[in-house]
Amino acid sequence: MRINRLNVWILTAIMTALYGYSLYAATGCTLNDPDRDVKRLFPQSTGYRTEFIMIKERGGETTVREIEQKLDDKLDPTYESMEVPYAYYTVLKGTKPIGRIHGINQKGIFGGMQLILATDLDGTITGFFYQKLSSPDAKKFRDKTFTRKFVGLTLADFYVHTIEPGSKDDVISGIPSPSETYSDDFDSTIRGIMKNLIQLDIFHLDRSFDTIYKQLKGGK
Amino acid sequence: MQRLTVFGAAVSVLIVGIHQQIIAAETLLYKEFNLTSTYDVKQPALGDALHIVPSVGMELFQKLSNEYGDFLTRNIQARFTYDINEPPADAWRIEIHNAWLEFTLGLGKKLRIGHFKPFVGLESVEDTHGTLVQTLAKQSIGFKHDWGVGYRGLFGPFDYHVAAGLGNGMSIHPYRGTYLVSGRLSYQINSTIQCGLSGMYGNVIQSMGMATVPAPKIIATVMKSRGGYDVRFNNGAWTVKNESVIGKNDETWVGGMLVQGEYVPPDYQNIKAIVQSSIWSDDIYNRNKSSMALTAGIDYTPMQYVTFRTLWTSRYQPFDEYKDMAVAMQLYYFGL
Repeated sequence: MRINRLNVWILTAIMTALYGYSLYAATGCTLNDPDRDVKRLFPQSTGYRTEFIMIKERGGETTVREIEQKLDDKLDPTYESMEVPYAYYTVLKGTKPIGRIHGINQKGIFGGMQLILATDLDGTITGFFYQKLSSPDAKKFRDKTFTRKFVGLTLADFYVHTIEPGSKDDVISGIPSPSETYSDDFDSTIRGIMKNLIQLDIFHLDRSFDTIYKQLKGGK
Repeated sequence: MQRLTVFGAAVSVLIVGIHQQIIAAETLLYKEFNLTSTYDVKQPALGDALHIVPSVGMELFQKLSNEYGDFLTRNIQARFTYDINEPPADAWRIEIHNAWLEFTLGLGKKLRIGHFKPFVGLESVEDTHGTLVQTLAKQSIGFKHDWGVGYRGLFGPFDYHVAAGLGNGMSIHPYRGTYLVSGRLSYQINSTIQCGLSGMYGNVIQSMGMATVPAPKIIATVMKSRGGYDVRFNNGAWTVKNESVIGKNDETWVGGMLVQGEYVPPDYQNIKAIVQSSIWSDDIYNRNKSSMALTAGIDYTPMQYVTFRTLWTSRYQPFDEYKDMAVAMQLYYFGL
C-alpha cells in the first residue's frame, strides 16, 4: 500500500481540526445564495452574521409544545424535529444590525417548500419569497403581487388570524389564495410563515408578541 | 524541511490571526454512513466505474464571524471507505472531498482555498456526494475535486467563479507540472431555470481510484480543455437537468452530454424517481470510443436522515458490441 507522506500530513491536519466538535444535526433551511439575497432584500447592507439554532438547544420539548400551542397545530416529528438547524442571518450595516433573514421548510402538495422572510429588528415582515416551491402554479405563488401582501405584517396578525378568524382585525383572511386549484399550498404558506415568525419571536425577540397572544387567548 | 517549517509558521500565524477576530462560531457537524452493494453483469468494469463502496464519514461546516459579520467559512468532508474487492490489508481508503477555507472579502466576494470542486459543469452546483447517480465530471475532468484557489463574484445578474488548481484531484502529487484553471458564469433566468456556461484548461493527472490516502496510482498526465453548458429546470413535481461538454484531451476531440429527469410523486414525497441518459466519447471522430449509458433509480427516504437508493444502469458501446449492466443498492445516513 503506497502512502504519500504529504497526504498523510493533510489528513492529520484535517482530523485534528475535526477533533473536539460535538455531533450536530440534519438539513435545515439555509439560503442558497445568501450574499445575493441579503443585497437584494437589504440594499444598504454591508455584511451579515449567520447563526444556526436548533429547538433542541433552546428548550427542547418545552419549546416544541410552546410552538405547537401558538401555531395551533402539531409539528411533524420527522421534518420539523428538534434537531433541524434553522439559519438566521442578522443583516449588518457596518457593525449595526438592520434586519434579519430566516427561512423554514414547510410541506406542500408537490414537495417541500422553503419560505424565506426578511424582517426588521422588531419582527415586521419587510420581504417574503419562496426559495423552493414545487407546484404547477408556482408562478402565481411567486408573483410579487401575492408575496408583497405579507409585507408589513407581524406575528400579531397571525395570532389574530388563528384565534379570532374572520374578525375585523383579521387582515390575513383578506389575502386571497393565488391558486384556486392548489389552495392547500396557500394554507401551508400561511402556516409556514406563522411558524417562522413564532420561532423568530422565541429565539430573537424575547417573546415580545406573547402579550398580544395572551390578550387574544384571554378574550376568547 | 526548511520550506515545510516556513509553511507551518505561516499557517500558524494565519490561524492565530483568524481566531483573534472571532466573536461567534456556528458549527454543524454531520455523520455519514453509506452501506452499498453492487452487482455487475461483467465484473468488475461498470461497478468499478460507479465507485460505489461502503463508507463512514463526516462533514464539518463552520461559519466564523466578527463585528462586521461572517468573514470565514470552513468545510471539511471526509470518508473512510472499504473496498470488498481488495485484499483486507489494502481495502481501507481515506477520501477527503471538501477541505476548504472561504474568506469573505465583501458581499458577494469570496476567496476559497483548499480542496473543492472545480467550477465546471453541472457537478459544480449539484450535490452528488452521497448519490448513486452522478454527472459527467469524472468522465470529463477525471475527478470531482481539486486542490487550489478560487474566487466567486457577482456581476449584475450573473455569478462568476474562477479557480486555479493543481490538477491533481483527490491527492496532492507535487512536482509533476500539472495545473487546472476553470471558470463558470451562471445566471438564474427565473425561479425555476438556472443555467451556466463553463470552461477549463490544464494539464491534469489521470489516476486509478478516488482515494486521498493512499494516493491513487497515476496513469498519465493529460492536457485537457473543455467548454460546455448546464441547465436545471424545475416545474411542479418534475426536475430536468442537462449538461453538454466538448473539448480536447491532448490532440483528441472528446465530448459528452447528459439529460436527467427526476420526479417526486405528490402523494409520496419521500420517493424520488430518477432517469438519466448520457453519452460520452473519448474520440468524437472514432465511433469505437463512444459509449452510451441509461440509468434509472429510485430514492426512498423513510425518515429524515436515512435514504434507501436503488439503481440500474446499462452501458452500451454500439460499435464495439460491448454491453454491460449493473444494479446497485445503497443505505445512506446523513445527519445525527
